[in-house]
Amino acid sequence: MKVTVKSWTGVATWRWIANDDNCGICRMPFDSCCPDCKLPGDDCPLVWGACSHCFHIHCIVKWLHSQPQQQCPMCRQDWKFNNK
Amino acid sequence: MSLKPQEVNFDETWSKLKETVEGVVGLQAIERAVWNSRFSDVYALCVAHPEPHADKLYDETRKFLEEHVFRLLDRVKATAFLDSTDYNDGLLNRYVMAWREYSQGVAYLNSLYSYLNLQHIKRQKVSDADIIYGSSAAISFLEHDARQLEVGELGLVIWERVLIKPLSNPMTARIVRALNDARESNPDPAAADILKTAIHSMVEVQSFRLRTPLSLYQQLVVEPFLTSAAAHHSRRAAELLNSGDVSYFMKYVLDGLAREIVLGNKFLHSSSSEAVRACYEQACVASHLPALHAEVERLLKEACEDSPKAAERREDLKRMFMLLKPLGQNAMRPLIEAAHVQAAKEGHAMLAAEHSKDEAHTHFVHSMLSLHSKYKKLFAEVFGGAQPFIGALDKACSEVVNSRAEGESAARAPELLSRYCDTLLRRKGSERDADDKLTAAIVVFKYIDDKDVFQKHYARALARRLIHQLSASMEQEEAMINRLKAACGYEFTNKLHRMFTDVAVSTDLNTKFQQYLRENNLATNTGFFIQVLQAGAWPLGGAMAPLAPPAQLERPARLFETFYRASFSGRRLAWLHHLCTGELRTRYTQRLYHINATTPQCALLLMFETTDSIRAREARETLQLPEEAWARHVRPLVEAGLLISKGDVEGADEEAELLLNLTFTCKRTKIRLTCAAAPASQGGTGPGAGTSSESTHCDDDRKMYLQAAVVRIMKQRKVLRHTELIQEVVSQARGSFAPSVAMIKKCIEALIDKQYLERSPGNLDTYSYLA
Repeated sequence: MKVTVKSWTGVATWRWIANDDNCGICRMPFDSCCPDCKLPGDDCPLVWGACSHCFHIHCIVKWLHSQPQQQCPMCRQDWKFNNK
Repeated sequence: MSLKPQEVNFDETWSKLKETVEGVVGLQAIERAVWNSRFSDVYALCVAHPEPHADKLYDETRKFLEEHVFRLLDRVKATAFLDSTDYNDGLLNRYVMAWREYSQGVAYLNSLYSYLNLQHIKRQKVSDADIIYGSSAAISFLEHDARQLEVGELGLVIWERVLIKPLSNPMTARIVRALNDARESNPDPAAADILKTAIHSMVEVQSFRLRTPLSLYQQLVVEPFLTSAAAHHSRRAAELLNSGDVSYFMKYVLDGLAREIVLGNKFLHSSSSEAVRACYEQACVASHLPALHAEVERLLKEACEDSPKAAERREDLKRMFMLLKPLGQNAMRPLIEAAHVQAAKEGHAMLAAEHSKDEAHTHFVHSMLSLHSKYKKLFAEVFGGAQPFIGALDKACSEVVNSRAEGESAARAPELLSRYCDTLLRRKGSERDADDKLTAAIVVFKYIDDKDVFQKHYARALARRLIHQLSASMEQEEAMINRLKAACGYEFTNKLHRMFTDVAVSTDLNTKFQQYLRENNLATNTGFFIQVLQAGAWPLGGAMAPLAPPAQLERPARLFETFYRASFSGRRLAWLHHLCTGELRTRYTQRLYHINATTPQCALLLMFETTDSIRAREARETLQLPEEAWARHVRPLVEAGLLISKGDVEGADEEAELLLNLTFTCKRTKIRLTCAAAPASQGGTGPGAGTSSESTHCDDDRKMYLQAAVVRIMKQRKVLRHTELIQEVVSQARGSFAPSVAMIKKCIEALIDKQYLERSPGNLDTYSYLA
């Protein structure tokens, strides 16, 4: 071996994988945060429903609280958090 | 005796009373029994039956006092020559003696007549309320003798009318002359006392008056004195100015001022000390302002130099400040202006001084700090730290800090200062020292207009320090950010804070990853550490083109990706290979070297495993690097001597080859290969490279900021005039940069196009908010 690798320091960035660019409720980009938050990232995470639609967690929770029925605002299916 | 009203023979009682009154006014001894019975007589006369004699008693008393004062007048006048101004001719002496006797006597008389005062005269008296709220008809009484006065007051009024009126001119002349002479040489205590008593008698004579109690004093003493003093001062000031330079003039004028104030306090009533001072300043300083102002610039310049004269000039300036200060803003302005110009001039000179290019940042910050501390100290010493001068210094400093060299589109201050901070925060030196220096750097920071540009530079430098773990200490980093936050607010530093959070989260993540490896019986084969950063929070630019990492590195990377995906759903990782570093150990060289290099560089070195030469083009294609990035990564390897280039390896030369330097030697065993400066868009700070894209980037940010500010303001105000809107926007933006009006106008136009605002119909300089 001419050269051996002793150690490696990796640097990577992460971003959300979502099927849309903007949150369907607040219309803000997923890379940004919901209107009530100041900083995007771990403090303002995204959630996915069983119907595969994706929102800021704060937005969908607010929506579900204001509705009599627990439905996805995009497809009107019953809303279930996708925990996979 | 009985208190019942009785019939009283007025003439008889009065003749008895008059005798005593004469004694009282002349300050002769009166027996207690006599005093008591006269006291009762006054009572008896006032309540006499069937007709009270109060009015008659009052008239007789007045007549008596008038006669008495006439006699005193003759005594005071004596042989004095009334047109003379010789205050030693005894007139003042005799006046003071008569006044002392009479004023005392009248005071006693007042108590003898207390029944008359209390019962008879008080009832007619106008109350304070009448004076303040009553009709002017009621008040006009005061000015006439027709109304009855308390006996003590009556005595004083008679004194004024009978004795002072005829003597007013000779008295005034003597008093003024005496005061003028007292300025030059101290009179002996007895004479001084007489002068003072004479002056104060003018106050006391009218002290009972509720309105304008000082008018007689003003008229007879103050006004004539001030007129003559003004003439004297002007003469003296002109003399001084002719006989010496300005420093000499100021010194004597200040001395004179002190003496004049002492004179005023010693002889005059306390109400006139202001007037005396103002008169002096008007005559000596205000009328010679141009002469003083002409010297300001020279004095300041000499006071700032390192010459033996500087201390003297500072004294001069101190005097100048003391002279000009009471005259208000207008008199001070040239001084303030000159202070500003002087500080700015020296600042520019300091910055322009010779210095090496590599040390430009240290030179800049140190010059600014020494400028600031020098002038702060000077102004504190000379001008007592007065607000206008601190303001002038601030103005001068920010002018110097934000000055741009010819041909530069923006000031270099933000970049230089952030480089200065970067060097300090990297250095592993004495921590105390660095802390102090960073605190001082905040002073300079506050003067920077383009704080947003500083923030960009600082963020980039911070990112580099955090990723490559170059910081001297995390506490220092945090402390510096807190200082910036204190100076500029939360908004300014929240991006920087997020970078810290990511670093902390990453440490945590590494522990978890190691645990995951242990639990699943996996190994990375090499040491492995990762930093996972949130895209957008770091000024790093986009992810690089996909790079096929060498086999040795691929395994840990894949393992981590699997782990990450399992722990966080919905997130995608992107490797920033130009920031990843690997530590390599060479085995082909005589000594063992540790090489710290970026991933592409590692990969390149690993390619030499089976061969000693590789064609550049081939290598580049294997690594899948674009041309520009390839050059940046290869150059350090060649420069360090690890690789030998044959032909133009960086360019498009098909035949160029890279050879492994098998005889590589180096003094150090640890070699750190940096990635050469990347264009600004990718996180480098190449001087000159990409500055234009840098500034457009900054301009875009500013436009967004301004538009947001406009919308915020308009949302709150609904309707606002153009100038007010501009003002508000400027004041909001000042914290991070100084916006140009043209830029704000453009932003307003853009918002009108986007239908956030409209021009109010019929009122073109007013905007209204469209919800």
